Amino acid sequence: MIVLGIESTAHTFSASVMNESEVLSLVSKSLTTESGGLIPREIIEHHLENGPIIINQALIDAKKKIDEMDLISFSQSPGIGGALQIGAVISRALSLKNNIPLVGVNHCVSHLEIARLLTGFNDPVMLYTSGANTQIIAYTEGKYRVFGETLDMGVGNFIDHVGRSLGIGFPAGKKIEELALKGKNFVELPYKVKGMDVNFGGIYSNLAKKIESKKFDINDLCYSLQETVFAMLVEISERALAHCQKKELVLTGGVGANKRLNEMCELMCKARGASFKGIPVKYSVDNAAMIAWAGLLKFKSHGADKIRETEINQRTRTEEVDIFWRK
Amino acid sequence: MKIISMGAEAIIKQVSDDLLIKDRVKKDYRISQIDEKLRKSRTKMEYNLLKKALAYGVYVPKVKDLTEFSFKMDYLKGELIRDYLPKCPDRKALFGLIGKQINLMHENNIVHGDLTTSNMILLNNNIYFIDFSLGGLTGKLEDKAVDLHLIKQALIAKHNSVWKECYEEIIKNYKNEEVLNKLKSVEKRGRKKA
Repeated sequence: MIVLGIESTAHTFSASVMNESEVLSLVSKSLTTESGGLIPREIIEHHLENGPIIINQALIDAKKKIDEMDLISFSQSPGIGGALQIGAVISRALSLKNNIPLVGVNHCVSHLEIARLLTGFNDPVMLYTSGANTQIIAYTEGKYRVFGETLDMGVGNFIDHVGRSLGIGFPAGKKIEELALKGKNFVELPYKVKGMDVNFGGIYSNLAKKIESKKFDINDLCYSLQETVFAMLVEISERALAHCQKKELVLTGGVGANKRLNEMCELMCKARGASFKGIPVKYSVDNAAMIAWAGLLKFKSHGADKIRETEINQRTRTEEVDIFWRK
Repeated sequence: MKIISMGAEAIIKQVSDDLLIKDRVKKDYRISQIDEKLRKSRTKMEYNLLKKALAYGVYVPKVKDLTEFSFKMDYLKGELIRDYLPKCPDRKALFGLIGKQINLMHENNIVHGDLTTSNMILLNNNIYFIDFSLGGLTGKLEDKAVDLHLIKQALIAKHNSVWKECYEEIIKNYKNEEVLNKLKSVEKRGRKKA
């Protein structure tokens, strides 16, 4: 079976062709800014302009034609409404015109499934850290359940907020990681863990004040931010491992590209006799290979969606999604 | 010493037949400035909370011998509610008791901070609460509401087929209307919780 995956939940438009065991192509383009954040209208323009070109390129790279596809899979939820809509409309049109079965998949579940494929872990706890999402997820009783999460903003959005206060463009993670490497002195910040949940709003206000006061070295602040916030994430991951009695941890989502976060996860797992694996950056950020793969799993266990079942949903929760293929 | 459990916070070892030591071991993943401060403050806070809870009549293990990163406590040889719940013949009665105990804690401004079925033990027909690592002494409605939200979330995640009747029983036995109202706003805000 050959699948075309299409991802468009947020600032990235991505297309990928996959067969049942490997990624044949993956082409992505993300809207970034020099300074300031993202505006939904600009994301929509970006996707409209780039979407068809990206899909074409993914087919060319895979040396396939659209009519060779056995399935089209697209990200149906959750995300930014206008962005989701573009991927959905293109997918429906390609499906109807070429008479190819269509499935819509959940973006978060797709992150988890590609992580499982790439790590070879059978039943891991997953620390999913992206812009909008920060969740600790594990599989129990037929669903992916969220054991802990942020009570306010996602860790990536938090880092981007700090980036904006520092005058760094979007996304700010990579730059902050570089600055953090030059930081030497730890500046105390609030440490906000409640059970398996975290929150970042208070830390952001605290940091924003410190940045504004100009009394602190920026490198030190970036270093302290990473040490504090990542320690919180690793702590709740460890709590989930203990609570669920599981032995594998996988890190995914865009913030999973951060080396220090990977190192901390590794140290935590080692100390408790668990295994840790990260995944390559191109599969931990938003990408269409994960959409293709989750689509393939869904199609093989549950069949295609009818067009009327492919309506987008901005807010679907991870635990609402039926995981037909693991039952 | 035999290791009884390796939680996220601490290692619990058996000192004698009826005594345990809770030792907050160093976490290599955290820098020492964060690690030592958290371990010290949480050890002290938990020790004090357990003493207070016991004084107010909440079922908790008795504690003694506080050091910087450890204290000793009674070894409660019961069964975790996490393991007991799937075979429990009367879930309503069980969660009625749990609700009453949570109510008693909150009336005395003790917030547990990590209410899951792994932190409750059934022993001699009483529910004992353990692991106050993330607890606090607070009169804030918000903190109490978050506590209730935590147990709801834990039930949904771990005991999905029966979570609702269990949670409803807790709420029925919870007396503070102000906290329950606050809970609604906590759940409405920001995240899209179930």
